Parts: sequence; C-alpha cells; structure tokens
Amino acid sequence: MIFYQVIAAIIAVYFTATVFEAPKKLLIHIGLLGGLGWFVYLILINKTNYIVATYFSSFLIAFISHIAARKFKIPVTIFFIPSFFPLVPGAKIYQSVYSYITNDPQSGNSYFLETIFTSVMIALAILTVDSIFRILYTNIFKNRS
Amino acid sequence: MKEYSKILADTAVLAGQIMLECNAESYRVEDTMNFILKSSKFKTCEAYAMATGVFVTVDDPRIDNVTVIKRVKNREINLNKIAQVNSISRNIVNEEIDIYTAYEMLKNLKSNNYHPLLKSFGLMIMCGAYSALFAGGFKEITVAFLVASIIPIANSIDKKLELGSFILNILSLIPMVIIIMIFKKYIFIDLNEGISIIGVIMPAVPGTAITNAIRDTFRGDYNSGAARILEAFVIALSVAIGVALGLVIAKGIL
Repeated sequence: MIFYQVIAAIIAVYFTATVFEAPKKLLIHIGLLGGLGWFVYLILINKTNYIVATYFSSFLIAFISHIAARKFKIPVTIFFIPSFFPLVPGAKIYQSVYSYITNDPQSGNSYFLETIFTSVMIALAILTVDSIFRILYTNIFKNRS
Repeated sequence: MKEYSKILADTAVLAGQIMLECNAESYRVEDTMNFILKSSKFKTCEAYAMATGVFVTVDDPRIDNVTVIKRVKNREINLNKIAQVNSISRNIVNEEIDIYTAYEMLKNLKSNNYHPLLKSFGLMIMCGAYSALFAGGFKEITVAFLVASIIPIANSIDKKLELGSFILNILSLIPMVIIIMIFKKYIFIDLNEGISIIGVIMPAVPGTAITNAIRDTFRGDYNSGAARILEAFVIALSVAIGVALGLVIAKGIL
C-alpha cells in the first residue's frame, strides 16, 4: 500500500511541478523528492503521530531542496513549492469542513487544530533547515574561502 | 537610448515585478533587485519589495535621482520565470551581460514552458494522483480526474472576468463537489467521496502561500510575511467555503 501511495505522490508532485511551470529538466528530480517526503511521512505516521511525521518529512524535503538548489544553481523555491504539496493540509481542511456541516463540531475543531499544527510543523522544519544552511554558508564556508 | 540610471532602475523593477507576479518570496525579490542595483556602483541604491508592489530608488552625485514604483496585482505561480530572472541577475553580477541586454532579456522572457493543453491535462492527472496519494482506489481516482477538468475551464473564464482567486475558488469548487456527489449517488454507489474531493481541492490549497509566508516571516520581512499568512488563511477559507456550499447544496438537491 505504501508503495502505491509513494508512486502516486511522485506522479502528483511531478504534475504539480508541470502546472507550476518548473524547468523541464528538473521535473523528475522534484517528483522524486516529493515521493521521498511522502514515503517518510507514511513510515513515521504509522509509528508516531502526524506532528512528528510532518516535521521530519518536511525537514528532509527542505534539506534536500537546499542541497539541490545549490547544485543546480537555481532558487530553492523551485524545489520547495511542488514537493511540499502532499504535506500541505488540504485533506484536513476538507475533513474539518465536512465535520462541521455534518453537525459534528467536536471533530471539526480537532481537524481544524490539526490543520493549524501541520502548517506550524512545516514552518518549523523550514525554519530549522533555513537556519542550518544560513549558518553554514555565512560563517563556515565563507571563512574557508 | 535611455539614460543608464533609468535603465538600471527599470531593469531592477521589471525583475522584481516578474518575480512577485510569479509568487517568489519577497526577500528573494528584494535581494535580486539589490544585486542588480549594486552592479552600478552608485552611491545610494535602495530596493523594497512587498507582497503587493516594488519600489526602487537610485541616486548619485553624478546623476538625477530616479525612483520607480510598481504595483503588482495579478499573481500566477511560474517557477521557470523565477529561475530565469535569477540567472539573469547572476549574469549581471558576474558582469557577463550589461544592463541593456539584461533589460531586453527580461522583457522577452519566455513565459510558457509547456503547452496549455498539456498543463490542463497535467492538472487533471495531478488531481487523480492526489486521490491515490490519500489511498484512493480506481473509482476515486477516475472521478477526481474527470471532475478536475472543470478547473482549467474555470481558470480560462477567470482570465476574462477577473474574479480574483477567492471567488474563483468558491465558484469552481461548488460544481466540482456537486458533480462528485452526483457520481456517488448514480454511478459509483460505494465511492468514498471524501478522497475524490480532497483530490480536486489540492490544486487550490494554499501550499505556496504557506511556504512563502514562513520564509518571509523568519527572514524578518514581517510586512510580506503577515500579508502572506493572511493570504494563506483567505485561500484556505475560500476552499472551505466552496466545499461546504457544494456539500450543502448537494445534500439539499440530491
């Protein structure tokens, strides 16, 4: 099942990148990165919870995006935006709306909070990785050269 | 030929405008404009980018002061353009091209990488794939794939009417949700309608706005950060309203 979902994620991210007009030669890289992120998410969500899973999969995506952006000499956004898409809480928005209109405000509230927390965990992961790379590149690598 | 300082300011503003229109982070837009301006060695060069506009001013004892303001209204994500502007600004900094060439290059930037039909088809596959990603089966994928054909139609209508993304999301999601519910009622009785709906809302969710909001806020650009956080909330709200209205209407009429 995980294999099937990861293949789906690769295809989904590949075409997200197409719709967002990513450079042609990078489409497959972006797709594989999105698939990798979703794979980590699925592995972790079975063992822990959605907060830990979101953080670590976002961390991995952000980390690889930064390395890839420096390798291909293009802005890191081009890797970021499509490959984060599976993690963006679209499903949770739907579930909370669905709970509210089927007169189940309690699960509605909890899904709403999950939506917020998922976004916050993505934010924290991006913050961590951005800081790591900023420290590396402004202090360590600059001094060496 | 226009004066050098004017061309310089125009180039920086054009680069900033293109990047903002393509949904780049504001701090990146500002950095790019500053790199272009700094290549001139003028005494005062300031660039300021917000989520909704760019400002540039150039001054030096030798020249007249130049200030250019550009308001950015329409935004559509285009990663390829961001990459192209970025490489042009790199070339300017490395003095591989002069500012006049750069200006012409920015004006004639290739906007569409892919054929519009391929993009529409890609959008449909994307919706189907997102259904599969959330463990949807064959029926859910098919329904999401077919119903997603409404999105490119809605987008082309929006280009003429200029509804704005809030109204567009609501108005395009309502029929999509209703059609999915019709599929469930008359064709695939055991369809898990939630998975299909999640598939078709994925292109509308504020993924770009969330990532950009985070990166702008933590770089200290609170102005753009706050604007983009609000943008993310408003887009999420429009998705929620669209889905809610669609479900309510479908429950009422079916």
